[in-house]
Amino acid sequence: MAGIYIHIPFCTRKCAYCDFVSVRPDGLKSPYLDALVREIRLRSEMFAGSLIHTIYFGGGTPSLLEPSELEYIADALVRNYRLSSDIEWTIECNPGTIDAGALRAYRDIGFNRLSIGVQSFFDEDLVFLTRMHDGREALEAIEAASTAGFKNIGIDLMFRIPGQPLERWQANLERAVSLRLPHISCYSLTTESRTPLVQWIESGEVMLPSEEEDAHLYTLAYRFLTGRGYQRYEISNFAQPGFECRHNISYWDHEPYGGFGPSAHSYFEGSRSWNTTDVSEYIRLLAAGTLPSQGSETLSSAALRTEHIFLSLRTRGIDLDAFQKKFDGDFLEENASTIERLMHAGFIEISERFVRLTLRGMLLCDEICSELR
Amino acid sequence: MSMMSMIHSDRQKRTRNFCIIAHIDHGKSTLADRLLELTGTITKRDLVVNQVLDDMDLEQERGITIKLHAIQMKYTHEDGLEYTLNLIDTPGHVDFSYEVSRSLQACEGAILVVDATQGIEAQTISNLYLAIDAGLEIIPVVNKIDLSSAMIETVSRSIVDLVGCKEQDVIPASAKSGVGVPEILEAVIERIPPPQGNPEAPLQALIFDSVFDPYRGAVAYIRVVQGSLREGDRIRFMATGKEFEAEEVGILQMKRKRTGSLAAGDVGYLIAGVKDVADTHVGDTITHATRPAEKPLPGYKVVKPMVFSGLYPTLSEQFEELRDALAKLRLNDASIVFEPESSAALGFGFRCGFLGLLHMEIVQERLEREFGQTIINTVPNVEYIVVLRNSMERLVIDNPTLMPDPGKIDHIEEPFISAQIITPAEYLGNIMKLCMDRRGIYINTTYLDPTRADVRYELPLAEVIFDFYDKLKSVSRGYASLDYEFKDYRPSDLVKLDILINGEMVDALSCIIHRSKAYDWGRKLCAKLKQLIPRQLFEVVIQAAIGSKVIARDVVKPLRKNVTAKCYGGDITRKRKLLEKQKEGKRRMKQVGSVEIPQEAFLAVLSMEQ
Repeated sequence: MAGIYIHIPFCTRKCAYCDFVSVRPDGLKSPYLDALVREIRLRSEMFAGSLIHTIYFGGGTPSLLEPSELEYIADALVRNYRLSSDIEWTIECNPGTIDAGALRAYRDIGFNRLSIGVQSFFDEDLVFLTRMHDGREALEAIEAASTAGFKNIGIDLMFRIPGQPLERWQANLERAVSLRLPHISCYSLTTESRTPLVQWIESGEVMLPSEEEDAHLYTLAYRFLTGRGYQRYEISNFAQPGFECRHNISYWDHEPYGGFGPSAHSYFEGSRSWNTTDVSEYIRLLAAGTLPSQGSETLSSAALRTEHIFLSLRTRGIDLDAFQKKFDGDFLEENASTIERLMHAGFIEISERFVRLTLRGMLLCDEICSELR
Repeated sequence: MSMMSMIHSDRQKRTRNFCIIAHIDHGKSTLADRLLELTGTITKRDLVVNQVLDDMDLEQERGITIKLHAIQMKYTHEDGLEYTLNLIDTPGHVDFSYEVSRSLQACEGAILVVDATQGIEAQTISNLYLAIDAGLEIIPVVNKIDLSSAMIETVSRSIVDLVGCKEQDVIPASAKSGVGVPEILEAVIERIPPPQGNPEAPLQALIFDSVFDPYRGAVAYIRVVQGSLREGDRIRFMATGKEFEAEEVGILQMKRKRTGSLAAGDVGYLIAGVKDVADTHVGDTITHATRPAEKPLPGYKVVKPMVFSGLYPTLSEQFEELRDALAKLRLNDASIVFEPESSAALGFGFRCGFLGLLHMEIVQERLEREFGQTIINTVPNVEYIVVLRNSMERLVIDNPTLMPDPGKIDHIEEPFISAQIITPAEYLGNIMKLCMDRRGIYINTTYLDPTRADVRYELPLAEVIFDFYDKLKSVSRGYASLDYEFKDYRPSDLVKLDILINGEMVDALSCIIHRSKAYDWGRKLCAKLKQLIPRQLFEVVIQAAIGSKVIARDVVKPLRKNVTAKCYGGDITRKRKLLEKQKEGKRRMKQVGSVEIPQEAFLAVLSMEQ
């Protein structure tokens, strides 16, 4: 199993809450695509022996690229890697940037999964978030995706948006379910430092809903979606059976993946590496035939264990037998008093040799993970 | 004076032993530098680092002299003869007044330096009185006369009143620019009497300081009062009775200079294979093992610590390291007292006794800087006498956790001090209010001059060791100065205040406090802890209690949501690093029951407003 992530660092404008690596595409597209294809080629040896099961085009806004440009990248992938016949191939797209023609072209290129950055179906929320689209365009994008023949469609929804009443969050969830979308990601608005959002909050212009409200909104989503046939397979991700995002699961299972593009991370045989975050430097390095790596780390067994614990608790739970095998240690025994406390308080439960977070535990996952070793 | 002590050798005739008495920042170190420069003891270049006498980093930073040193200068007088001048440095803080009294004993004269812009301060007066009591010749100097705000006449007049000298005896000077410094040097030679003492009499040498040399052991700085000391002599420390052989004897210049012998009137050093400065007590008398002196020199006393605090390593595995560090520090500073203790909250540590709060801070800073120790200290306290109900037995308690059950206590006594505060008259009201807040008993006020008052109070020491000095400075815009000495023990209505976290007592936060202040302190401490204890998975209830009666309560609400929303690709490394940092942070916290308490919570108590 192996996956490939392609980063498309372009946005026409940066949203107020976002700290991802992105720039305006002006004049950069073509040198960037050349650099990207070069990196795809230069790193092909890494996965020479592996079959690629998932590809994910993320961003930025991948849908800002013309279909021909996407095809240029896809060609490089096809030529340099062995792709599995049942590959999951996702492209992130934003409403307002895709039409029926583009979507048909995506299918022809080989994309078979869409992740649409809806965030909300309501204009008030979208304006606050400084998104480029409105509610109508969000609906149109989803409709166009179905018309183009996409079955595997996921959308992102956001909660804890300042000024968003609880009813509107509820309405967003209902709308997503009524559209029969098989995959819904629910993200709590995260305040990343050095974003306009944080400045608004710090200056008192904007009030972020409290931690209690945040917990309440998540609980609402969890209860609503799991009551309608969705399974929570990761803290923020809900899917109908069979529609989980395999690419993301591979991150959480420590499967190997190659990340191409600025700031992209790769993981291979216990070692993680990452590229420079600077788009111009990325282009310059690859134009000179140099790999754009910025750093790498070999994960110690302790680091792997820490990651395994939090990634497992965020997803399907800690498989005690697998843990024993992987780390040669008894998780329960080594955390006996903490586990007892956490169980007693109703944060975790143990069944069928799995340690899982309860709903209350999920809300406090980070804190809980800091107590486990 | 006996006939014996009148004998003057030529060497004695041309020796002057003196010190400088000055308040912090009044220019003692600068004047010392000028004297060293003028006598050619050091060059200007040496002075680039500034102020030779203060050679510990800490001293330079705080601008105060913590430990004493001495230095010898040679100066050719206008009579054509070369004189030996021994300048003995004195510490300038109330915590170290015993050391001051001992170094004064090694001198025949003192230069009194008063800042012309500030006037006389309390500490200066008390040291001046010590010097006058010791029979020293005083050379008054008004310093900083070149500053525009100098009040030369007013300050000179108050010096004349205080010292009882003539107005023309006061030397106007600017140590910074060098004005008046040659006159000071002349006065040292002409006004200060030469040392006396019979070089043939049985040996009496006063230890006025000692330092630890890692290669040679304890080095005693001494003033020979009677007799002579030669290398190879069998010597005896009269207070301890311990005997050693004098291995090396010499004088103190920029470095130690071996001379092989010292005689009555000389100031120098002695190395005698003494491993520990605890054996070279400041104030002790050295004599010969054979033909000893009849009596030791007067005035020796064992300095007792006044302030006690528990010192704990931040990580429990560093206990042994801390023990080593304290032991090494004690080699240099015999006034530190420490013994192991344990706390349920902080683990294993040491109960340490200090001369005062400044001394405590110095020890902490030295532990951190010189020995790389990071420590938590508990609320400092004084030593209480607890009188038991039935037996009337008197227990000395230096640790709140050792306080007996209140039912068994007849009463508790606490130490009181006599405080002397000198202040511009306009701040008198503020200062009296401060002293009243601190349970002070007013004694009297006298005026040094129309604008400066000398106020006397008796105060519980416990009220002074906290932030009294800082408060005094702030209510007087920095002008008031303080000096104090131990007075006596008096019965007080004291209680033990405990802090409970989720019902468990945190011993390190207990304190002994006057009943009238317990409620306020408890309330403030709970509020402070609430700020400092991070929200956790579970609710944290903080209570302050006297015995079983809860007098204040605060709650740290549990976390409701703390989970990263997005965790893909590169987020995983970031998340793991955050977790690792968080775990390391938790490792440094102290566990009380299931509650994690950050170290700052223990330290915060020290910075609480009384």
